[in-house]
Amino acid sequence: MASRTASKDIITLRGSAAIVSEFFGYAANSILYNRGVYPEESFAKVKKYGLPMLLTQDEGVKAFLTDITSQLSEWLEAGKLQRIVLVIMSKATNEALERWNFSIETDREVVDKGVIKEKSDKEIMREIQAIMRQVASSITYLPCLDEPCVFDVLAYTDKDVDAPCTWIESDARLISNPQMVKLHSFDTKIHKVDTLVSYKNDEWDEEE
Amino acid sequence: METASSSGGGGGGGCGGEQRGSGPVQVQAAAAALRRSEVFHVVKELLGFVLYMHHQIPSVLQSLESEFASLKEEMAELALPPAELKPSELRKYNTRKREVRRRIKNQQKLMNSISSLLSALQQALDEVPSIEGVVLILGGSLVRPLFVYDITISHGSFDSGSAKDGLTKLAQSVSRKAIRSLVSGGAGSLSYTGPTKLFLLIRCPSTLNLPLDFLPKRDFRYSKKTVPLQMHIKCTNQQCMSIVDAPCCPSESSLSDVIWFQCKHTIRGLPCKASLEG
Repeated sequence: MASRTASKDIITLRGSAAIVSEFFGYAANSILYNRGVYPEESFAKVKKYGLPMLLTQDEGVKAFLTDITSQLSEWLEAGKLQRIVLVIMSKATNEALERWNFSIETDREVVDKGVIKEKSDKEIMREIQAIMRQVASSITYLPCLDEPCVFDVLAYTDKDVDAPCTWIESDARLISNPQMVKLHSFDTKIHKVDTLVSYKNDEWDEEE
Repeated sequence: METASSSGGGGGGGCGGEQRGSGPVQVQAAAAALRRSEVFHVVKELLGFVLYMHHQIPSVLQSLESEFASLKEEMAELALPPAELKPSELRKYNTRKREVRRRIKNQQKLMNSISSLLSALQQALDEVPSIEGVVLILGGSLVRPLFVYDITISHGSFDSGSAKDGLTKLAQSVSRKAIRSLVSGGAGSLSYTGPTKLFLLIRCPSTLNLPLDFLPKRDFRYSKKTVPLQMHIKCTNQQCMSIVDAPCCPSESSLSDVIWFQCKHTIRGLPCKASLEG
């Protein structure tokens, strides 16, 4: 029986940076929707990655995320971005309740020498889709966030990065005594993104 | 410093190219016993997760149920048109009614099959003094499974409560732990295998007598080629005597008393219209 090989597509550094930053944008929206950070009615449904995805219609949040993804794309192209973290905090106490951590491994050869890689677009999208399903089902495996929450985005970059004035240095907003769940990864062959969510221990989970 | 604490046992085991299980995943329930309603909730949540992650349903089960219930409510409200509608309003009303009817029709078969299966499970739990485990099988048939989730449950003694009793914090905690284990283990297909069926089997005393809902399957074994994802949900101080030789460990009662029953209700997944160009 002949095996079917997926045709490969050329991936450039710029293209990969676009894929990863776009992924973050959609993932952030999905997290904000599924974790109830903003009301359901403030989101609109669009089709992406073969899934119905929710995008915020709040102009402030939209602009905020657009600025972020644009900056992330720049850092990714420069090979300077190590990690992005979306932190969900209690509005009342500012305590970090959840950290959605996206770790990025960059192929230095591509950044330094401009080597081009190949991977099927469909396969990348399939990997991303698996992560998005895990985010969408987070209500089934993460403790409920029973209080009003706010969010912030942290970017871990190389030390020599000049951050624009819209970014400030921050502490890591760590969660004390967290639990963690590792999600799927995706790999463009230039950027490998590992996803992990850490969360504040629920009283019922103390035996874990 | 953050440390990982979720245990992972492996992916949705099956014949396909999934991550393989590396031993049963242990899920501890922080209680001496689980009630019938708690076992029901855990199995329901696992079933919903498996269906969604394997692309058999378009959204998570809670959303589907919620949406379907809203549509039915709306249909009931639309049944009688309000009096004195302007022609334009009447047109909008009729359009909306057609749309709601269409959406209900699209989801009816799926939701009915889910409801029938879950209802049968509740009845079974109410009838038996104990249950040793459940198996969720995705595939065209039991003999040709694509994915197998073999879940052993050491629930302690059931009290007099019903599987239909309300949701408890303990049930939510256990189901979340169980699903976290699946997530960490990579359960859920990275490759879509097309719409398929979900079969439910339960292992319980042979006294179960629900002939409309369950068939005894004394010789049930899934294919040796299949690597199941095995999970053991256990209460404090409960033990499983052995977790070798699929599909389940023996109970405290005589082995001949405990057999597999297959639920007659299956869930057929919806075709996933996923276009990766979208």
